[in-house]
This record gives sequence, C-alpha cells and structure tokens, in this order.
Amino acid sequence: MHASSFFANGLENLGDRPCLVTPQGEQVSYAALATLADGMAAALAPGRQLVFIEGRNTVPSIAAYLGCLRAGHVVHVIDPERPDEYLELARTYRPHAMVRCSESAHEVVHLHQNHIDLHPDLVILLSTSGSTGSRKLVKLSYRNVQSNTTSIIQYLGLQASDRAVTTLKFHYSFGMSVINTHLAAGGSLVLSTQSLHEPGLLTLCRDWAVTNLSGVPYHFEMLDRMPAGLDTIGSLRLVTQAGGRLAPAIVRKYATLGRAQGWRFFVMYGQTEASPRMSYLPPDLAESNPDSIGIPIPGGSMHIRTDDGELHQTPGREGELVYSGPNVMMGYAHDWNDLATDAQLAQLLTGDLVVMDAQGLFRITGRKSRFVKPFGLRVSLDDVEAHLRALDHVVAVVPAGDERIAVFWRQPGTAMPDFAGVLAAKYGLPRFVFDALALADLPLLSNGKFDYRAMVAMATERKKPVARQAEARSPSKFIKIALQEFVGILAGKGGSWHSLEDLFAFYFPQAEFSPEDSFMSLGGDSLMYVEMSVALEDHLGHLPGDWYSKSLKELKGLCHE
Amino acid sequence: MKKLESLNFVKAMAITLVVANHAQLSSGLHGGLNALLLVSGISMATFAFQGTTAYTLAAFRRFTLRIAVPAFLIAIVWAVAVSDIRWIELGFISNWFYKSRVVLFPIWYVQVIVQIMIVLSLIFWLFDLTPAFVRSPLTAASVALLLSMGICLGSYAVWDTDHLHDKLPHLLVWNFVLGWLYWAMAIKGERSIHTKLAFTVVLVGCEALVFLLAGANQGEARFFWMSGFSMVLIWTDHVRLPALLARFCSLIGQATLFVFFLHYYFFWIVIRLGRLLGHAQSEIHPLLLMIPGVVGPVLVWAAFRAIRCAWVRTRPQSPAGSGAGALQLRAH
Repeated sequence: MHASSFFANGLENLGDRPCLVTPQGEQVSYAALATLADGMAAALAPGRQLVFIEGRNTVPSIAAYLGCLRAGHVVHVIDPERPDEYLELARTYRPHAMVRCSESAHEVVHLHQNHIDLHPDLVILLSTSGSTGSRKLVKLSYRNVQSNTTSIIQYLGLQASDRAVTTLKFHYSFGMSVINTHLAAGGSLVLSTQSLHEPGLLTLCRDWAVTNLSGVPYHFEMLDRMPAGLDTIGSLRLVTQAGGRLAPAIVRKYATLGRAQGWRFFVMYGQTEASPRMSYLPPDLAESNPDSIGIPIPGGSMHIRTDDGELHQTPGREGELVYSGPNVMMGYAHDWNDLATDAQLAQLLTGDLVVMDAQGLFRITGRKSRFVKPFGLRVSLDDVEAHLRALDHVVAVVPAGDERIAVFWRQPGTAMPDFAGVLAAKYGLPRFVFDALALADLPLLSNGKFDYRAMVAMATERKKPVARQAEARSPSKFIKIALQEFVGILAGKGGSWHSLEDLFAFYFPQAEFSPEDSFMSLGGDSLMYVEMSVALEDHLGHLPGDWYSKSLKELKGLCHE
Repeated sequence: MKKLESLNFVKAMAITLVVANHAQLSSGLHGGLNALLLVSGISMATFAFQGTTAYTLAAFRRFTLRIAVPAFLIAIVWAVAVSDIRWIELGFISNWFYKSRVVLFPIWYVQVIVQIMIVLSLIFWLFDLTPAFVRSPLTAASVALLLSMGICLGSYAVWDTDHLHDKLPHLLVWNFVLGWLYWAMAIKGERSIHTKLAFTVVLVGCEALVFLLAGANQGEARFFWMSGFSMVLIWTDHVRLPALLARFCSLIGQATLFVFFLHYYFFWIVIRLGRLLGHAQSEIHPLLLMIPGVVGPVLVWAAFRAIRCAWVRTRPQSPAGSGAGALQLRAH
C-alpha cells in the first residue's frame, strides 16, 4: 500500500467537521487537526525519522501522532506514566526525536541526527503488552494499519456520525485502534483520560452524546458492579470489548442490555501483532455464544494448528489459532538494528488454543503457555479464571511455581470465599495446590489488563522460603543443645523450637517451604506423622484436628491464639 | 491422666508386641506387625489419596523409600560385617524363597511392604485410581478390600505357603487395604455409632475369615491382637493413660521405625553380654531381652533426633531465606 492512501493523509478533506472534543468543550475540526499535525511535523528535522511520542488522550498528542504519520516518520507512542521505561527504550531504539505532550501543548526534543535504517513500509512501533518494560516492539506497516482500520470500520459499520470517547490509553494498541478507526471513518472523538468504569465518564458520554464506547474485561467487570451503567447513556450505538476474555455471563448481560436499548455489543479478539484486530463476534450471536471470539475480520482468515503442524478448520478439534491477513505485523524489533527488516510473515501463531464450532465461530480454550501441571494434571489457568469468574468473582489466576496456582481476588469488603476448596473439588487436586490472596485492587497494566507479571512476582514472593532463626554454631553449643534436646525428648517434650518454621525445617530439611505449605503439601508421611504431631502438640499446647492439612500460616494463627 | 491419639497408642502397643514376641516373652503374641500394617494403611490412605494418581504415586514412592533405604543400609552393613551377602535378601525378594535371614531385623516385613507398594503403584498408574478414591472413598476402599480378600483367601485355598510363614504380599495386602476402609469410614466418612458398628463387623469379619478360617500362620493370636487393636481404633479417638505411661507410649510410637530395625540388635548385645558373664541364651529371661529391645532403640532414636535438632538449630542461614517473618523467640 502506498502511503498516500493512508488514513492520516486525508484528514483535511473532511474540512470543518468536528474531529476532537476536549473535556472542556473545545472542538477541533479535521482541517484544524491537519494543520496542527503538519505544524508539529515541520518542527522535526528533515528526512525520515524515528519519533517517540508521549501518548496522552489530548489534542497535542494526537496531532503529533498524525503529523508524524503524514510526514512518513516512524512512530512509537510511549506511556508517559513510565519515564524509566522511556529511557530504556530510547537506549535500545535510538529515536531521533521525542515529542513531549501535555494537555495543551507539545515540545519536540531533538535527540540525534545519526542515520538509522528504517524499512520503507514501517510506520508504527507498538509495545506488545501495554507497558511491561519489555524492549521488544511490534513493527507495523502502512498496509497493516490501514487494512486493519478498514476492516474494523467495515464490520462495526462506523460512519461519520459516530462519536467515541477515549477510554483506553493511547499507547495501547486497542486505544490507538479506536482513534485510527474513528478518524478514518470521519467520526469524532471525545478526549478523556478516564476509564470506562469511572463514574465521571458516563456523565461525559451523556454530555457529549457519545455513540461508541470501548473497554477491556476489567472495565466491564467493574461497570457490572456499579449502580449506574451504560443504560444511562441514551445516545449509545456501539459498545466494543477486547483485550482479554470477558466472562460469558457478562457478555450475555451486555448483549441483552444492548438489544433492549438499541445499541450493539461487539466482543472482539486481537493481538498487537495483528495491528491489532483478528476477529469479532457479531452482536446477534453474542447472547447465544457468549464464550466465543467469533469470526475473522474482513480480509483475514483463521485456522487451527495441531501439534503436528497441520492447519485445519474442523469443528471440535482443539489447536493453536493461526491468523493470516494483511494486518499481520512485519515482525518484532528487539533494537534499532531490526527497524530495517520485514519478516514477511504470512501467518501469526497466536499462542491461543481454540476450537471452532459448526457455525464457524471460534472459542478460546486456553493459552499454550498458561498451563500448570500439579501432580501431572494439566490445568489451564484460563479455565480456573473463567470458572471463578462464572461464580461472580473478580479474580486473576497465575502460576505460583511449577505446580501451584495462585488466585488473586479483588476483595469487595466481604470475607474471602473458599477458593481452594472450590477449585480442589473441581479439579480433583489437593487444596494446598491453590493459594488465594485478597487484594483491595488487582494490579493492572496501563492498558487496563491484569498485570499478571506483577502477580506472578507476588505469588512467588509468598512462596519464598520462610526465615528461620539459627544460633551460632560451636562444638560446645552444639553438644549443649543436643544434650538439652535429648533430655527434653525423654521427658516427653516435642523439642524446644524457636518457631513453627524451625519445626517444619527440622522435619523437611530438603524442602523450601512457604507459609502456605503444610505437612501434607511437603510430602509428610505416616513414618513421621507421630513424631511431628507430638512436636506440634508440645509447641502449640494442643493438637489441632487435621493438623497435617493445615498450612504453616494457619498453624501460626493457632499459635497466636 | 494424659490423652494419646488412638493411632499413636496402637502403633506403640503393636511394636511393643512385636518385640515381646521376638523376645519370646510368651506364646500367642503374634499380630503386632499385622497391626502396624493396618496403621500404615490408614496413614497411607490419609496422605496419599489426594488429587491425582500422580500425587498418590509420589506418596507411595516416598513411603517405600523411607522404609526400604534404611532397611537396605542396615542389611548390607550387617551382611558385610558377618561376611554373608545374600543378594535376594538385599534385593527384597527372599521372602519368596526361604524364611531364614542374615540381617537380624525381620526384613520380610520390609520386603512385603516394598512388593505391595510396587504392585499397588503399578495398578494405580495403569487404572488411574486415585480420582475414584477421592470421589467415592467408601466404594473404592470396599472394592479394593473385596479384591484383596479374594486374592488372599483364594491363595490360601490353592497354594500352601506355610513353609514361608505366609509372609507374602498377596496374603497380607488385604491387611494394608483394611486401613483404607478405616480411612474411608472413620476419617472421610461420618463417625456415627452405626458406622462404627458396621465397621466393627466388617473388620472383625475379615480378620476372622483370614486368621481363623483360612488357616493363616499363628491365626488365633493374630486374630486376638488385631481385633483388640481394631476395637481401640474404631471406638476411641484418644486413649487416656497415666501421664508417665502415656509419655512412654508416645516415645515408643515416635521411635517405632527404630524399634523395628534395632530391637534384634539389642537382643544380640544382651545375649553377648550374657555369654560374657557365663549365661547361655536360654538362661536369659525374655524380659531382659524385651526391655532393652524397646528402651535401647528409643534411646538411639532420641539421641539421633537430638543431634539432628542441634544441627538444624545451629545451621547457618542463607540470606535467601528472609521472605516471611519468623515468630518471636520462644521463652524457655
């Protein structure tokens, strides 16, 4: 595709039509935005450049972005909330310039004028996960972006009368795609920094007669718990959801609500590597197929890849989803040297496991890498998450080591349900395989998705070996302790332990145990059962029933009591 | 008076009975190892029947290694010391060939345990049985007991193994599986009077069938002791004993494995000392064998544990182990 047919290049053709609306009520027309964009581009040095732009949902930021696209530069929109990440990225990719953007102004910072080979088709670099600190960027061409934009406009039926609100971060591929598609369709955007579930946003939507809303699953889960929801926005025409799996019950609820109120609810699926959209669920099928990701977008196709590498579209056979279409990226860039190349990928291996039904609708069954194998049983973390969400819990599920599963629960002020019991019963696994943690707020990425990496770190931290107290070793000390213990044991003592951790360390010297571990989880057996029960009884003053299945943390609680 | 868990009490009594029998304190003292097998079955079911078959297999493996490794080490050291190495004994299969042994402790028991665990592991692995035990403990344990009883009774009917003292896995596996039924009824199930009555009938019935009717070696004694121990397990959670006796029982219960492995060696020491003092073995009163046979291993166990404890308490800590907070120092 030639750059001249790129959506950003025809903005001025739409003249005085409103394009951007600020929260203060200022309206910017397409013609004005084109002028602003070109003015910004003119501030850059001559020649094709790699430009980093602070991605804010503001006029200067969007103008800078469009200006760079119109001038043929390569753009990477960064998360302004993470300046440390910017420095790391700048070292890796060596941008020529950086555009700092505020609410009302922008500033171009020239960094260097050294030559960097930029592939002629390359236009946008995107972070793969919103803002994870990963230095790997997705390379998108004019063709990638334009074809995906056109497809989305087609299946959503976007038109010039549509007005969206920027509920997602600009640097996030979904957020950027909302901006691209509405500008390409000649619609308008109400600029906001609020997310879909924030109360002020609904007011803004009502005030500016917003027709289109977009959100990620977390937004809808939160919205679901708010007293006032989308039913208060009379102008609504489209609601789109992407960025992860939304619980089928919530999909069905919004699909039904939309049907009743005259707006359409689109469940969409994509990855940044596909610029980003790959499939959508037609709204009229959402109520009957709420767990589906639907059908490929116009111009794309989806196949299922078996473990042997065979591609098929046979209903009922699970395999990895393989997408092909003009929106499949040019490849990854790991540093500035990669910016000159095009991997010419015919297909995108998504890493998602899917099955297709007889209607041709695809349904995600898990993630290839999101599996844990406790005691040899393959458990999909996505399945665990979906099961708990179906029970109306806001949870994120992550691996805690190779064989344990941590459930992070957003605590709504009530006592934590017995997640371990529920999951142990469902999967036929011991309770100790599941570790539940309650948090006031679950960690989120700037794109609104769960920050699984942070949660894995938290779960791992909990699994760290517990501290024990040691006394200085010397022969006389050793003999003294041994004699004391010997006499104590014969006197019926279970050992003079400083702590329960010491007691556990004695019986499980090879294990690195955590507060969540128990006698059973550490592999205790009948041969040490009596000895440890006596030691524990002596330490606690009594022997709790089922002590062998109680975690160290629970036993410590009894100790404090 | 002090309370002692019934399971611990039975364990202590059973191993004491084993020592008393081996010291020839009296006739009719057989059945201690049968009781230990029952206790092992209960514990094994409690700890192994969780989650998946892989978990059960891991528990089987741990249990087998914990009993087989020390048995092998003691056996090989002794065999080298007396210059009589028999590989079928060290390979845990001599119970199928002859009754005699080089090693002093009753290695046949370890051999039977190892063989049972290998076969059970294979069966669990082939048929993925753990989910059935998790889902329906009582049904699964009942079926397992029926099958094992059938194998045992069938074998008694067609194959005379009296020359091996019936110390063979297929004749004893029911005894182990009986522990599973106890687990299913008493631990996983409801401990009502009806359950207890039903279990009493089943347990005593099984014991009567094998020990009295099928012609098991020393059947009457085994039936007497096993029934007694079974009653304690079924009808009481705790046994109340005078504090000193409870403490001693508790020590024996904790040191069961040591008593099992070492009591014959203490007999051997007493007999050697007796000879040095001019007394033949037959002149030594069985109590003079039995008491050291119990107390000696308990002291060895206590010393062993005290040394381990001192080692652990003075072991330098790695900086990595500073995650969660430790409790405050306990006041001594």
